[in-house]
Amino acid sequence: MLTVRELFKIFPGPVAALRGVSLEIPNGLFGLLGPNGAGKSTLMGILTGQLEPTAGSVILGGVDIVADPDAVRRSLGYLPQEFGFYPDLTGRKMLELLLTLKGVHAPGGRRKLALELLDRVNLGHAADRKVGGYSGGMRQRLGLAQAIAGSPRLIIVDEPTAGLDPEERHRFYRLLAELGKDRIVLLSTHIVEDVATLCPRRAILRAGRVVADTTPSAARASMDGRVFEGMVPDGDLAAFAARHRVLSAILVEGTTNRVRTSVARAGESGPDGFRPASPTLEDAYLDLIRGPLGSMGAAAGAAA
Amino acid sequence: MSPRRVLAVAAVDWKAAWKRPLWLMLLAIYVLLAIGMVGGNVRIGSGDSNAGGAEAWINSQFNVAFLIGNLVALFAPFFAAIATGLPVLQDLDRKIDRILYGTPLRPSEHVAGRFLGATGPLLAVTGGFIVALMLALQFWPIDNPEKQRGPFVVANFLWPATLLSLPLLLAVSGGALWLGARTRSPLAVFLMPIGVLILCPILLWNWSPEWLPWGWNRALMLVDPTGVRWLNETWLKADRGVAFYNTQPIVPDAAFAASRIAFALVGLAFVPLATRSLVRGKRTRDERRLDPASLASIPPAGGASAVAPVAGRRLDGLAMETRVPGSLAAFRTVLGSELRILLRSPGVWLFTPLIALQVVGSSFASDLWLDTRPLETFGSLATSSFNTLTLLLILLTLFYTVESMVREERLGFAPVFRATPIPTRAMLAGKITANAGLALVVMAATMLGCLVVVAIQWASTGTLVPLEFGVFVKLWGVILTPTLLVWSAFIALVHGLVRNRYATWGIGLAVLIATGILQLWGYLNWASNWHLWNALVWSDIDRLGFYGTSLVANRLFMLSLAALFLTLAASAFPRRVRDPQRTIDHVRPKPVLLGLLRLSPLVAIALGLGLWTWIESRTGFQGAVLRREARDYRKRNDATFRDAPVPALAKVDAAVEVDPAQRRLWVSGSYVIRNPHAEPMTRIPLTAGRGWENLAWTLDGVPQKPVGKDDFAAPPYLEDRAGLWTFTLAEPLEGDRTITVGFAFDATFPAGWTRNGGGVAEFILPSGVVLTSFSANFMPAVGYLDGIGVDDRNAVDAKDPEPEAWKGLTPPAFGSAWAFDLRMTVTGPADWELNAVGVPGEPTIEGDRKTVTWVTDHPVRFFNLAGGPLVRNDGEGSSIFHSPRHPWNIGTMTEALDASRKHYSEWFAPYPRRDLRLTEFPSLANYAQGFPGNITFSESIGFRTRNAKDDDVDLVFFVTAHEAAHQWWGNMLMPGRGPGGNILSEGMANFSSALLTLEKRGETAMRKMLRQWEDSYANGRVADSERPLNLTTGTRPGDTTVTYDKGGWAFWMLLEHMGRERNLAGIREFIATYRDGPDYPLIEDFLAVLRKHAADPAAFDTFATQWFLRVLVPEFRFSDATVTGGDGSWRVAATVENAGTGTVEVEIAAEGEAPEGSEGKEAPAPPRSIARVTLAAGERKAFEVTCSFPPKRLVADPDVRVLQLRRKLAELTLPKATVAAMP
Repeated sequence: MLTVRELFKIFPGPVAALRGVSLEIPNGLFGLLGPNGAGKSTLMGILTGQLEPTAGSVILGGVDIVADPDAVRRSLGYLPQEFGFYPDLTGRKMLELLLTLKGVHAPGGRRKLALELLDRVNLGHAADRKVGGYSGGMRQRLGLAQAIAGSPRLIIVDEPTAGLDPEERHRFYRLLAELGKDRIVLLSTHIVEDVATLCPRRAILRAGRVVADTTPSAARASMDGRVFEGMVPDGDLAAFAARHRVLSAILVEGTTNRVRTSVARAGESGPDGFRPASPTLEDAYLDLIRGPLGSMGAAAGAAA
Repeated sequence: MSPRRVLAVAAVDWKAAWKRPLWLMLLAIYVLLAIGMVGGNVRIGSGDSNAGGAEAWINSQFNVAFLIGNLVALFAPFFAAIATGLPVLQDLDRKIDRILYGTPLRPSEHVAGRFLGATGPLLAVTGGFIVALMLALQFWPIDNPEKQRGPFVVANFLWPATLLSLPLLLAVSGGALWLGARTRSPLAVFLMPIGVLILCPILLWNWSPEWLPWGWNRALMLVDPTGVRWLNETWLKADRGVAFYNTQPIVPDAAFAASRIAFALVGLAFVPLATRSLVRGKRTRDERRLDPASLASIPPAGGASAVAPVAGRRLDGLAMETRVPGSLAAFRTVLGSELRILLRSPGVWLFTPLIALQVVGSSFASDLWLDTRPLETFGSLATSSFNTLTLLLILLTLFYTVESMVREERLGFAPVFRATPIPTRAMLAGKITANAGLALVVMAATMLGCLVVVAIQWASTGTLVPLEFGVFVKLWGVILTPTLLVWSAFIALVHGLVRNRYATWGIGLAVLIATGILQLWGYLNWASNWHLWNALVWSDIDRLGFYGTSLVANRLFMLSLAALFLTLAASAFPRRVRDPQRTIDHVRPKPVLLGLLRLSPLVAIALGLGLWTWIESRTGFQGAVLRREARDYRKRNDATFRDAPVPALAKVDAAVEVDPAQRRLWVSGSYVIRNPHAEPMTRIPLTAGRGWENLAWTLDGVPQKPVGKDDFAAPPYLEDRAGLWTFTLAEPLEGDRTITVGFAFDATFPAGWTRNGGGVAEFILPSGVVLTSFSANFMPAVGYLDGIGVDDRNAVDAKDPEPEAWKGLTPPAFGSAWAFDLRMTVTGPADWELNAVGVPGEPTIEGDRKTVTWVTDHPVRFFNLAGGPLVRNDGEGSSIFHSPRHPWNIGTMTEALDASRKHYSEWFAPYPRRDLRLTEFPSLANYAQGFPGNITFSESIGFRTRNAKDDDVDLVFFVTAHEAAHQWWGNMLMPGRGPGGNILSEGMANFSSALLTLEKRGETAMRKMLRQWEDSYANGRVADSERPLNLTTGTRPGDTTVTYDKGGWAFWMLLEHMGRERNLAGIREFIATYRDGPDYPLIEDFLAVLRKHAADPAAFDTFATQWFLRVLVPEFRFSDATVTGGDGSWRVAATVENAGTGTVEVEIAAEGEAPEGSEGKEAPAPPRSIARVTLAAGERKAFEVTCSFPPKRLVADPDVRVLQLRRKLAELTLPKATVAAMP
């Protein structure tokens, strides 16, 4: 169990990146959703021991990793959102170096293990090419290989599927699902579909606060009877959005928008001409992040 | 190209320039340097620094050019390269170029904008330096401003900056920009200024041997991007007098002006080249069309389609285990990884050959005593390159360490790297050690350079020195590596604290500069000399044993500091970004105390070692304590005894025992003292050594205890006047009466550590012993020694000599006024050779001690004791005692000693002693001294002199002949204590060695030797300070070369003027007249005796006045040369000018093409026709020479008979002949 209690992070400015985040993250895949600037990467930085919080605690296996950041490094696999490698090393050498730094052993030796891991992430063919020549997707896969090396107790992956093609994305999901059986895998993303597919639990951050900590089915259930769909001419959209909570608007054939809206409570009627729609996880997510900030606490409580 | 867009890019840098640490640091360095230059300690070497003399103005155009040229060249290239070379690279790293090039901005505009953005602030800061220099040199309060400061002329500052600094800055900036764009490597950019440092200050500025042809010299001036070599060689080296430098502007010749313009243009031309490199690097390689069929065999880059699905291949199957690596394992891993990265860095491989080149070059450029060149051994090479290697490695390590600290951040690898469980300290230790270890590559290359030196030396001299690779391990591995470790750790700490690479570089460079300034001012000691700059003197015999504990303590101190810095750097390292809001949490007493507690062992060790080294440096024999005692000695006695009559020794009887292993000395003995003066003498002063223990005195056999300062005592009594022990006699000493002073003491010598390494003139060490009666180290010195206790605080300008001083009775220059007999019993290690003056008795050996009694067979005025674990080599009339490590030149030295004894006896006076010994000592000092019958040579003189090729000056022969000549000049003929006296010793020794060289090596070798002295004089003289030979005191700048080189030349020209036989007859009479005193001669006495032998006394007087009694030196130039004729007869017409001073008759030769020499034989001389011209100062005369061969060039004084300045310019290549009727 990873317990986050009342975590605050205020950067000079001042800018409050986290405003009292509390989470209980059990073994298994846990999704962390939120728009850009919600504080996800700040939270990741704190959880990986690379950023000191302004206040709060993070307990992993009974140890407060805020006070003892070395503790988390001993049991951590981390795939950052943006990262690079030594460009002059080959993929295998790079991974071998990281295996050595992490103290990962395997019966056949590190060289064999590195090749096996590269194979798992579909980089076996490029094992002896310099990392400097890797494409973005290949680098991402090498990053994943190092993150899962040694089967760490806590795996944190930050926007992991950016740059991956669909096939690699699925391969990646498979690996995460396998890893998530007996350890904590924290998946930070703003792609709701990823979380919907993989994570039995998820939390949504908005403006440095947790606005939802729930399961996908509960999130969907919270939107039952509240989502409506209809068409709005493009010229009227701005006026429409001022009167209704628009979840999404997709321009169709350049003149008309297919619009999904939500209402505050089930049972309320939707806009004129709109018909009820079956809610998706994305609707739930968008409803939370588009709602008024003042309602966030209530929303979080309701969602939980 | 759009200027608007270029300026828009540049403006981004200009707006931020004022807050960039790089520029602020450079400006701060410049301002400090400007203020530091006001004192005038660093300025052109012209003028007369003595009281009343004309001084070089600190704000003259030449002095400002000297300062700006040197300082900007030393410091600005580092900042220029970093500022210009990196921004484009950073844009690429940050991928800003992708956005920028999506706008109308072109790569050429981007590069030009970045170039302007960097060079603008660079030039502005340099302009700030010029302004600071103007203000400091013009307005800062100084002593004697009316003498040191001329009127303010703004051109004096702007012109040197434009001529010297602007082209340099543009060239370096453009070069760095191009290098960065071309290599995409920041390190290549960093290495550029280091390359400039190696090539310019270390190689180009000062390397100018006499044999270097003028054309080559000119070429080197033109390729020097700093322009400093041109300034030195063209204007400053041959001193033109302070009036010239103070008032004249610097006028560049056409070639130099073209070179400066070319450097500036090349710098600007690098901008488009950099653009090309940038564009080429960005262009994709698949632009050319490929046959689609050929693509089929190439696997796709991603490889996805080639890979089977992974279903069923579970991670569990890998059976991975994690054991968090310990500190050592993590250290090893990071070290290995860093080393791999560093060794792939192209900069390392570019840089190392440069260092090796520098070592090779500088070893061939180095000079020793009497301008001899050293025969390099591995130890001397390792030590002589130690300073340069240390400096270059420190700079290299500075850049590489900073780069290493930011590498993960720069590559985006930091989040992954820092999330690994390795301890931060191990991570940093690995990085630091790798950067220090990088030095191994450079050291290996430098060692190869040393091998090349040894191989070339072997090929050119036939001497192969032993291949002692262990010396490199000791000096560069064990001794130098702690410097690099402490420096890397310090830089890592600074970077951890400031977290800005530019600020780290700036602070690093500032620390280096501050250390250099402290070194210059003499404030460093074993505790503070962290890079051991100038601390180590190599001796093949002593092998650094002299430094012993002090060196070990210094290195341990540095290692302890390295550990402390590393620990602090680990705390400061931004592995986890601290929250500023929690600062108060981190400075709460408990965590602070806990942190300090954890640090305390390291702090305690570092503090303990630092204190120990500081205290020992302070209390050692060169430390502040003894320096204060020496000042007290001077303060208490100078007024009373400086000019007081000195008693003379009539007899010395002493027993001396040395224990080299303990540096111990036991002495007991007696002096029989008499009064050589007409006036009675009531006080007999004797100077005792500092640190003598158990000192006891007797007077005529009666023990004497010193009376208290204020006690009344009836004579005879003894006073201790701060080390000057003064006997007040009951009866005045006069006439033939003598007294006997007995003494006994023991001492450790030298006692304790040196202050900051370096050498020492006298010592008792396991490697050898050198003790002389000149100092009070070995036995009491008779009288007050006016050299003790002199330092910057109490030094006074030497008095101008009295022109009539020679007329009265003159006391001897050194030693006792009376020659005396000596008996000295010497006890030392049984397996040592210990030589004193006189004839040795039969040795007696007891256990491991040997005792020999030495008795003089001819009276002496001074004495010594020298020896060590040496072997003996006997010649016909001489013996050489040398280290078995140095067998190479013994044959030549023995030949020179035997020939000296034989021929000097014939030419001057018979050698009066049975033995002539020469004893080698470790080169902790580089000197030779001709004690009577017992000459001492440092190992670096003669023994390790690079023996020249057949057609060169035989330096081994020369230096031995010079020192052997002191048996006559300085012993048999003791000069008087007065102006010009020492020239009768050193100048005559040079003259004698020229005579002997002529006798044994022939005229060509002798003339080449004269030419070498002339070059040394022309480059070393200080025109305003120079006095005529008869008034030279040895205390003014440039007096050394006047004494040795001009003195030797003047005596030689006198011989040629008088004729050999007349001259030698005069010299014999001179010796016979003055050898026994009581009047000891000066130059005028010498001339008076020689004049009696001159065939034409009037011509003799004219000659003597010009060369001995005045400072007049000619300098010849040719102009308006034409050649006419053909068919076997040619006529050369030209004008020759004496651009110097004096009136001389000079031969002018028209020379033709030298005929082909047959293989293995010396090339024949070219055909020559001679004309003679007499020229007064400034006089121009037309002349003609007719010759029967096609003339190729004109040479003034082809046979090297007239001392002149800038001889290389007294030649002219003639134009082709035009056909004209011969008259």
